[in-house]
Amino acid sequence: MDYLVIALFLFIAFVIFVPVILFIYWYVKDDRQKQHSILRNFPVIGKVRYITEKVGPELRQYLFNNDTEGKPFSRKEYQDVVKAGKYKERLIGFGSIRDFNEEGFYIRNTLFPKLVDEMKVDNTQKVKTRVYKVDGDNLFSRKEHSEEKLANPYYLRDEDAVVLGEKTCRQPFRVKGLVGQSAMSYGSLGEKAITALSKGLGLAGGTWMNTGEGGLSQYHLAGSPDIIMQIGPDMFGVRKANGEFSWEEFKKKSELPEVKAFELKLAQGAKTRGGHVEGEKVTEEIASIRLVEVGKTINSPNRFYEFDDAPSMFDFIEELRSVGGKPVGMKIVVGDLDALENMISYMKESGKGPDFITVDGGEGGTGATYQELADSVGLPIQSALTVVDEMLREYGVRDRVKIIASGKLITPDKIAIALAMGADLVNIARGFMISVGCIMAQVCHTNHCPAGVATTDKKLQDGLIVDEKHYRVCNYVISLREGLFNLAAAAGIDNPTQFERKHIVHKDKFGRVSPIEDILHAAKRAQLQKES
Amino acid sequence: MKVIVIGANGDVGEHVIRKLADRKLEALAVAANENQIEDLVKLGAAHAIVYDEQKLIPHLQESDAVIYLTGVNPKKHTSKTVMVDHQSISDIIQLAQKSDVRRFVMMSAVKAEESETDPSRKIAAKDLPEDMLKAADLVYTVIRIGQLTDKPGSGKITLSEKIHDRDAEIPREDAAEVLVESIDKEAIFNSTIEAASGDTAIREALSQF
Repeated sequence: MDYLVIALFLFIAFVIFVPVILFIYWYVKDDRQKQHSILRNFPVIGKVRYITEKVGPELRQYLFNNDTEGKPFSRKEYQDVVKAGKYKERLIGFGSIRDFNEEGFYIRNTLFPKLVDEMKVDNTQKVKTRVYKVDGDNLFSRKEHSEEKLANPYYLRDEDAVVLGEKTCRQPFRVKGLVGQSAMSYGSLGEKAITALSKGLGLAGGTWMNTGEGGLSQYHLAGSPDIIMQIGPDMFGVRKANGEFSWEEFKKKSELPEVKAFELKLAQGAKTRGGHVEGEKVTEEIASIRLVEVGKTINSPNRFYEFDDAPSMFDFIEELRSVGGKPVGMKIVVGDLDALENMISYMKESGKGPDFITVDGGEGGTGATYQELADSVGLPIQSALTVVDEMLREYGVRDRVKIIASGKLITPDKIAIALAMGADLVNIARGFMISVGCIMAQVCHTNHCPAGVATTDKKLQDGLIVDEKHYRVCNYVISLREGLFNLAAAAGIDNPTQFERKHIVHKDKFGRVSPIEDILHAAKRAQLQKES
Repeated sequence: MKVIVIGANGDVGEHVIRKLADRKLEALAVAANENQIEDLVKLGAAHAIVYDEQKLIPHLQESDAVIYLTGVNPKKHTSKTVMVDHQSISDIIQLAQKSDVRRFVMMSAVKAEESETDPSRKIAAKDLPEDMLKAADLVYTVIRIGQLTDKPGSGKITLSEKIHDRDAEIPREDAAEVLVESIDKEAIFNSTIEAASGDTAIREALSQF
């Protein structure tokens, strides 16, 4: 009997007293604080606002946004990447969910497409990868297993390979695929993500990995992929202790067989400024790769100290090329067309210049940045690309330089449109992050990435298994190349390097169709107006 | 030894060419169109030509063996009357006889799924290519393979006169290995065998059959 009374008492204590006490505690606390007016006026109940606000993005992403909503990438776009990585499969049923009333670019298919047998593809080497097969997909249970697969790599034929620095370098960079990984530094991404990317890209072949400005780490080299080493204004990895450029370090890096080219980063889509890494992410190892202080936030300068105009930059490029023997390019965001035109006209005049120009759209950006820079600085890729391509043609230097485009080009159709607009190659960053497990939590800048991708935190990185994820990277890039061949066949060309302006059109809201040249005219008009 | 591979451009054909090259056998690859020639040479074929009966004759005359590949798939062709172009197989067999090629290995498919009463079987249209080969004056082997997959080859198979499992699979790489290994295995001369993935090493399985 006694026990029952005690039990009853405890029960009442827990169910009634504890909540009441908590309520009073919260009430008093909220009522007295001076920070939030809502909580002062409506103690406790006002918390509902903050809680729902906090979980809002997650609820929207999983429950309330429809599949084509959501930025930077919709659920649908995200899934396209994940599925390509897991299953190497891009089939859908019952049609597209694209809104065909909206304006946008379309690929012109021909009446008589190319047969599979007629495509100029090189599938002589197979890639040993793993793909998932679904065993059962029910409401409460989902089973799948992964199995080995000898996949066709969809390389370009040797004669179609894109060559960087063909006429200028002792060691030009030949690449047999059109898609590579955009700049992502070790430090911004953790060692596991970088290793998985390196191994996956190395396995797939015919692609490249851009180190980002954070220097070349052992993780980039883990899978021996072809590497484009980026050099930012802070010159991490190729600088002396005092911050000056170190030719000795540069020579060392250029002698590595994996390093195929160098890229000077003038700007990137996310930010037209140098890199930013939170102090929390700067571990001892990262500090030693970059030659900076442990735990101290890194804010790179927004311009190189070495040069401040086209002539001085081109001289620097010439010297890099003659010391390294490998192609040297530059990464830009297109904003001021006058400055761009000056540089390009100097290319013609001097006969010097970069071997490739990476044009990052204003929409690009994995990096931590400031909202104002991410949103409104720099032209989006579709405008920027055509402008750069056209200017290079006007000055007759297009054949000396390759264009690498980037900015949310994560599916084959978007890549094909960029190729048709003038790109020779395409860089992808976030697509590759998604392939190694990114769930678009949008906390890259905090070191608290829940998927263990954009974090150097050991515990969070426990979630990322390199041996599983690297196959997804490989499948994703192969699947993009396969998709490009599909689109090329539909457009009546035998490989995706043949995409030209004539293969795409822009359709406006009223169904009117206009060729790509119209965008150029519009851009020129805008520039003329600015001048007058 | 010179081996002529007809249908070399297919998924199994690519592996056959590579495996012949690995064994230092001279492969003459016959493809469906011009575009595939470059790839086949890259894979290791000594010569590659587009299928054309007149051009085939001199190559056949130099060859010691034929591997005839077809795009057969046990599941795909259910209730279809014909799996392989009868005219082409008949022509090749005749040309081979005339050119005095002694050895002829043909790839066919396990037909476990179809009962003997299937209308397509009744008129014997599907068995015709195999029957034509058996009737010819050649040292033949018909290798019926299971469901082809893209898995890497394990090098191990099971061989039998009749595989009853309709889901029996075999990686393309292994199917190619079986075809190439079959060329000089006397144990399987003048016989029809069915192959799927299993536990016996390919060479051993073929020698002991």
